[in-house]
Amino acid sequence: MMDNGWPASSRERQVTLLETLDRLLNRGVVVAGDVTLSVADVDLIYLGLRLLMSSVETAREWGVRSGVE
Amino acid sequence: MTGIYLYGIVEFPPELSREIRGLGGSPVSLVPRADLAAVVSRSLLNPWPVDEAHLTLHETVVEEVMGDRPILPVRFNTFLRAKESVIALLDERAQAFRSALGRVEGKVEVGLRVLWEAPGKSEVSVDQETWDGNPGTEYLYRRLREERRRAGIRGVGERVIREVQALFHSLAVESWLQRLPTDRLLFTGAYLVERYRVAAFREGVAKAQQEFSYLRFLLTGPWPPYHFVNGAHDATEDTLGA
Repeated sequence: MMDNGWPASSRERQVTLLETLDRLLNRGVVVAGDVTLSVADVDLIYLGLRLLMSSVETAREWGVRSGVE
Repeated sequence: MTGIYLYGIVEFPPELSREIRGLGGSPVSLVPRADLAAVVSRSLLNPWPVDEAHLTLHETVVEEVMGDRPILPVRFNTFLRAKESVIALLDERAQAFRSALGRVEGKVEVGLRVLWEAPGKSEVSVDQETWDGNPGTEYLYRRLREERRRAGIRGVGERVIREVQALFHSLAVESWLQRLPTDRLLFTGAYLVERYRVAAFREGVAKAQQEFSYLRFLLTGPWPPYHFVNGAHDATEDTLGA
């Protein structure tokens, strides 16, 4: 998120991180097909999520689709 | 084995105006094709860990480029094998990319989550005369009560959402909304806002917070337009005009 002074507290930082996560993993242009590398092991991609979020429950509560469910 | 990591799609020219470091510390560059270019860096063909540092770095690259021109942000961990693959992608989807870039030009995305305390009790009662004392019947009644309770909450929620959304009608160009995704969350929204109207949008949210004091508004952004770069995979729902 662009630095305009919004995120300040650790709570806000956590919210920003969850928002970033939601956007980078669930949104944006999807490129698929012959030209792309097939990243087959999706589980591997999401392995770090439990460490990333202080609480998966928090993410769930906030409606963030984390890919760990 | 190395390949190409993709951050976004932009118009071309111009070249990047400054040096940007991407994932793994590799320099970020453009792969141009006609009037479009891909924002890329060299990378090992292994998924980058999904942790705060890597997500932030990807996001930082996108935002750095976005300072100069419109960008279509690409999903995290998108790799292509070689430069030829990037060019093939730009050729194949040129029209869709041009159209999407025109849509987001001069605009940013603002995120909004609105929390509420859902009504706890509904005025639902199940006809006790028909209850025969059977545990199976009791179970079905319990489920029926729960379904009616949820329907009641949804009805109230939809009404509040319409009232809140009406406040943002003139402040955003488009919106994407997910209604009642969890019990605590009334809605989560993304709004495509003209850059010069971001301050006005923030004021609008402050006003909404005053008007709807029983709700909690959480505003984030400005973001690159992640929710508004859709192709067929991502139907955007414009709720502002509703």
